Amino acid sequence: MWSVVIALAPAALAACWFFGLRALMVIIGATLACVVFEYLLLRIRTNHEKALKLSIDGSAVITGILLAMNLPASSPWWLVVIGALIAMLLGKHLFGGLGQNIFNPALVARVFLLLAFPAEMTIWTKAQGIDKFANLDAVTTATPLGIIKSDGMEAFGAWMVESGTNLWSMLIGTTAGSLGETSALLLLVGGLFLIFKGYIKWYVPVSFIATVFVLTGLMWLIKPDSYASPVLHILSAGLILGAFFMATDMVTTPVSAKGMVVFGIGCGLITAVIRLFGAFPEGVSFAILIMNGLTPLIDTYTRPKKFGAEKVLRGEAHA
Amino acid sequence: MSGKGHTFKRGGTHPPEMKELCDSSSYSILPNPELLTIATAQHIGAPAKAVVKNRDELTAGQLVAEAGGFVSANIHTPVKGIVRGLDMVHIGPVNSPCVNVKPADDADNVPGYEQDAPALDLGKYEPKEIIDVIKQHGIVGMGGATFPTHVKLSPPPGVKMDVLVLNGAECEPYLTSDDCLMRNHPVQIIEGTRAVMKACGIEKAVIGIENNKPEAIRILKEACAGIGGIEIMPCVTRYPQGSEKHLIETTVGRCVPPGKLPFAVGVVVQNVSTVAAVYEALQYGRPLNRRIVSVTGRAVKNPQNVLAPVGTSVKDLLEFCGGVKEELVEVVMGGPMMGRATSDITEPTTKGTSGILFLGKDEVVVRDEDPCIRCGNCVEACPMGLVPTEIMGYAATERFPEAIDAMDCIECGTCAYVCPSNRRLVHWIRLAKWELGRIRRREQMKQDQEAKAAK
Repeated sequence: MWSVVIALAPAALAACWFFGLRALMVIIGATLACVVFEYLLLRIRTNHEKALKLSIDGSAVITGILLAMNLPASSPWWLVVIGALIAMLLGKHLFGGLGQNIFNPALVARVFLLLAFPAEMTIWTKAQGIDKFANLDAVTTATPLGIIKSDGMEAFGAWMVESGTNLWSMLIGTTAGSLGETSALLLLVGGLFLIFKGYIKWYVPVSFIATVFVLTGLMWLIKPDSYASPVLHILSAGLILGAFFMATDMVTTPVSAKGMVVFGIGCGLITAVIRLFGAFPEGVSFAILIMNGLTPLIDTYTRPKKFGAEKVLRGEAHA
Repeated sequence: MSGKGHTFKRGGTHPPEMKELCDSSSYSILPNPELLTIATAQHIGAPAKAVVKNRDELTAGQLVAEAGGFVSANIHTPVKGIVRGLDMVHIGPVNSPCVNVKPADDADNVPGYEQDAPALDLGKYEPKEIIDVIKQHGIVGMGGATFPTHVKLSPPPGVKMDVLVLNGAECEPYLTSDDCLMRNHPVQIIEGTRAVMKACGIEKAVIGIENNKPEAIRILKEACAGIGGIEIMPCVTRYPQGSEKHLIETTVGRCVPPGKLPFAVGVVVQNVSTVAAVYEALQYGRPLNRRIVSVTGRAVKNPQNVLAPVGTSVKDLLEFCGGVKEELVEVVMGGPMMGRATSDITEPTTKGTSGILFLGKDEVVVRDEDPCIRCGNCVEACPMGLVPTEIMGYAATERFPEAIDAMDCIECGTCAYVCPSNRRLVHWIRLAKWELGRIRRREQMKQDQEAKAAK
């Protein structure tokens, strides 16, 4: 589990670099709050030693960092604490703790906050660099997908020129967004590290991102003046973060390779549909949560074929 | 996975081989121990019935218990001696009746396998007679399952068998007893193979050997040069290559359907040691009452292969091999993947004991079970295409009828080996199997009672 933390570290540090001290405070605050809530909630069910051991096993730390990556740098402290409580209580412990939860805890918290506190959740600080870390009244701006959704492609083109945003800056991470929505490159490095170390499997990230690429690319080819290019879609917002770090959460995703591919395609489909036609500019979190809910069904229908069986048997007795 | 060769398609793993501990180039013959404990329920099927009384004097190879049914096997004393009580002994979970035999002072040690073994004159046997000899001499599968061989060679009516697969894979880490036999006594194996082929009317045989045993492959290839119909097939070193169904897939390319026996695809599988025992029975009239046992592990002083009489206690083998040299943490009967730990060092060996492991503290990791995080490693690794974590979930919540997939599990232990949370997956699956068996028996009993009442 700690290797996931290591994999997230470069992108988290980059977020601190781009957004200043506020970002660091959000990350530390969310992580601490998650660990504390994990301990308190475990304490209801078990004794001190066991609760302490389980609350520092790394899983709460990951949830904390992932939650922080889903929040804007300008988040007030109470937003972070409520998010941590929701993640741990509604996302994890109501289902029975580690291994039992149906939905990704960090995403449950993000969506809750997005719906309950839409104003606080959408103040995007402009990424400026560590040298401005003391500037708490940082300049606010819009996210690329937000502008496309609200003002259309034409206005987006003008904004790109005006703000000096291009695909390169989006890859590096100097655009606005949540902490983890900026540096696609560093998230990619962390994700690939996890794949090469064998901690996550490639099926979900690849099928997820490929599906988004194909669908947004299709619309872009049909109407390039109203839809953004697929490359922009992949680099923007939380797609890389979601595909490598949240849609690969083992607990809430299918167990078989076939199931993981189905899961990834489903995530990509819902993300693309929300981004292209929905009311929200961003759909990764909703997509993953919806597919989390479908995981038991996917597991049932993507059972591996038993050795020597001619077709897939679904729980049928034979012997 | 390593090296070139044939292998099965799905799942599997490659644990550290650890075979270098136990040299397979030679074996020692165990001097007669003080007492042999010969269990009568040491094979699959009905226990054998003792036919000797306390204080009876026995000659070497004399029948001490006769088969208790068709699926059962005769049991013979390995050495000359005197019966010292009929008792009970635990062979793992089975509480078996046993015959204690005290070897006579002038009793010879069990005979070694002959170095210049002659070819069999198969012309003088009818197929039926070969199977009869196998039955009389109490031969059972020596790979560990101990299924009576004469039953395995008697297919149900209408079944045509065309390939004999010989299992020399020895995919379990640590164990080298089959390797030892293949390297030292290829003639016994090849001739035994020919006898079994004749008994079943089979023209073709394939011997599957993992490629981490190059010497065995070379020696057997030389030994069967000029003998038609027998092929030596090197297989990739990959666990569980020696599983019956996976070895058939590897060597013949056929898949045995779930719930079916190899008969279903016209194949019969025998362990290499078993066919050597067939040869011994035909050529020398020796019953199966001795075998090579790998005594190995880091905690034993002189790990080696030992030709020991069946019924030797773990303690006697350990003493012969120089005792322990470091803290002994666990004693395992069989290999590390499928074997079972024993707490009783007076437990006797059986016809299926291919090895005894004396594991030191670097070799045994005892860790608590963590929650299942659904990582899917067990699903990817299961060579049977099952979802082990799901079966475990049903077993742990006592929803046994839903855990029916457990019946397809071969208990190879690959899932538990790859589990990052250290779940005892095989333990839960075996529990499910046991409970499902109980449910089935209970239903059968109910049906029988109803049928009785209806009469």
